[in-house]
Amino acid sequence: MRSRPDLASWASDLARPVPLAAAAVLAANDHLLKGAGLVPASITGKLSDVAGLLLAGIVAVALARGAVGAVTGALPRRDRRLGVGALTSVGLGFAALKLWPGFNHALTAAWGVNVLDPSDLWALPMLAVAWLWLRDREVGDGAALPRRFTSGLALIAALLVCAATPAPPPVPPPAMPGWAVGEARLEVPCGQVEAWVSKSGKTGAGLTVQVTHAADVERCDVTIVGATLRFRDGAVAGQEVPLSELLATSDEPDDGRYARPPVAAAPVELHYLGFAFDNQARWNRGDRDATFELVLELGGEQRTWTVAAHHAWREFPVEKGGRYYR
Amino acid sequence: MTGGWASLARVAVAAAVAVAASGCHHHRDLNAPGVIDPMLPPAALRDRELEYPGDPGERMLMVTTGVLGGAMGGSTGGAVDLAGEVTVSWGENPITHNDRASRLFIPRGVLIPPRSHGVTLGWSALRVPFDDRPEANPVTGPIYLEVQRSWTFAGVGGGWAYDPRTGGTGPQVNAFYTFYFVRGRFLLGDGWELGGGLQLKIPNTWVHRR
Repeated sequence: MRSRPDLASWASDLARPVPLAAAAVLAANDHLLKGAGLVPASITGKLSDVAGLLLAGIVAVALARGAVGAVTGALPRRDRRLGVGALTSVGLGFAALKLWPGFNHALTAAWGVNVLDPSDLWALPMLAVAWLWLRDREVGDGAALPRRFTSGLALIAALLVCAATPAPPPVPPPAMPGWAVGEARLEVPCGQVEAWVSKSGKTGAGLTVQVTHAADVERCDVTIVGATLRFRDGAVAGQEVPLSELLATSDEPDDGRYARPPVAAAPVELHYLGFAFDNQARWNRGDRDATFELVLELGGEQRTWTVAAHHAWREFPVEKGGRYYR
Repeated sequence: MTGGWASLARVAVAAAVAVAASGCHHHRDLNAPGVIDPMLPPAALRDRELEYPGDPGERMLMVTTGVLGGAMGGSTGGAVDLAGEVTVSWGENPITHNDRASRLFIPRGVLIPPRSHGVTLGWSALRVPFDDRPEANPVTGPIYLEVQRSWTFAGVGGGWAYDPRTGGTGPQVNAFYTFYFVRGRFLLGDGWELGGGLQLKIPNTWVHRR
């Protein structure tokens, strides 16, 4: 009956200074340095490839030797066919990851983001460095083996470091449904009025209206005297939320997030209209088209402005995701 | 082909079909809008963009299929036991999953809520006795129905088992963690049995917002 080689005999390579240093560099680079602003991104990007290929090569050869040893009962040499085959496999996998969009996409889906960048292939010679190191280990194999526990720990650490890299970059948050209007702009004698949907959720929606007074025209008063969100089967009355009251009740200092109450000389006025209704029910039954109707009073004259709106899935940029999705 | 090996073939085919159809999640539009107070202006009023709404979380319905293999022993002796299971479960996640985010070691298609309840229908379809006698042929084992409570990759369950071959019937309990499971049952007429081993179960999940 064949005896299995001891863990310390094939995993001991990973408890040596070179692979331990490569693992430390890889872990520190991916999880501390990247994105910290301490080292240029061009350096952190390449450092992972250099340290990662060296470590991955040594790990691959160690695992291959361990597997062959478990079957045959004898450990093959590190620098002959098995070692070269394992290193070549790592190189081919790395090249496919950097060159082949399909493979990159599949691995990204299962593991994490990896940049499709052919210029990263310059780090491939690190596999030759790994082979040289393994050949030296073969020559110096008579040295005392580290303890089995140490080898096992090094093996686990190396596998974790390889699998846990690279650190994932921030990603956009999940898509959310939201109402949106197209290009909603109304020219008025003394400037223009614009509107955009600024809030949308289960219990309603909110419309922000901006009045921009033209600098070279005599100023006129623009007042929103009515607001309605009209569906096929009914309408919801909007309510203007007085921004000045909001500021007055806010504990936070005015950092510019909220508009100041309109003052006579301001070139821009902001208004916020809230529409409270069961938006979730309408979404669930597919009622996703409506019209905002704003009744504006312009210098004593009333005018109705209608803006078509549609409720659909919206994508949001990374910075909108907040703390939940990073 | 003996009855036992025919059962094995059936289980293998069923498992292959189940696994091929699993490991995915499907998004539904239901309840999708986020959480807002429409009467409160957005934090960045001057941004000409829709404010990202509050996360409503999500609900999931899962159909999990899998095979369980291991050893069992008890009043009727020991055997290698191979079972197939289908679990229908439902649960909630307070935070909506993000398909773009990296989930280390978990394939993106696999979506499991932190807590769930479910019902499992299973069959110990093949038992190969620990017995060298030629007449000790593989046999079929009990069919069982369990209710299940799960915490992501761990769970416990309890229910009732019935062995159509022997007519034995009685309660059973089980516990699992990732790929490992233990199960005990007491069948009136057959006696008790205790077993454990490895399970490979892959969920197929339908998810919608809360």
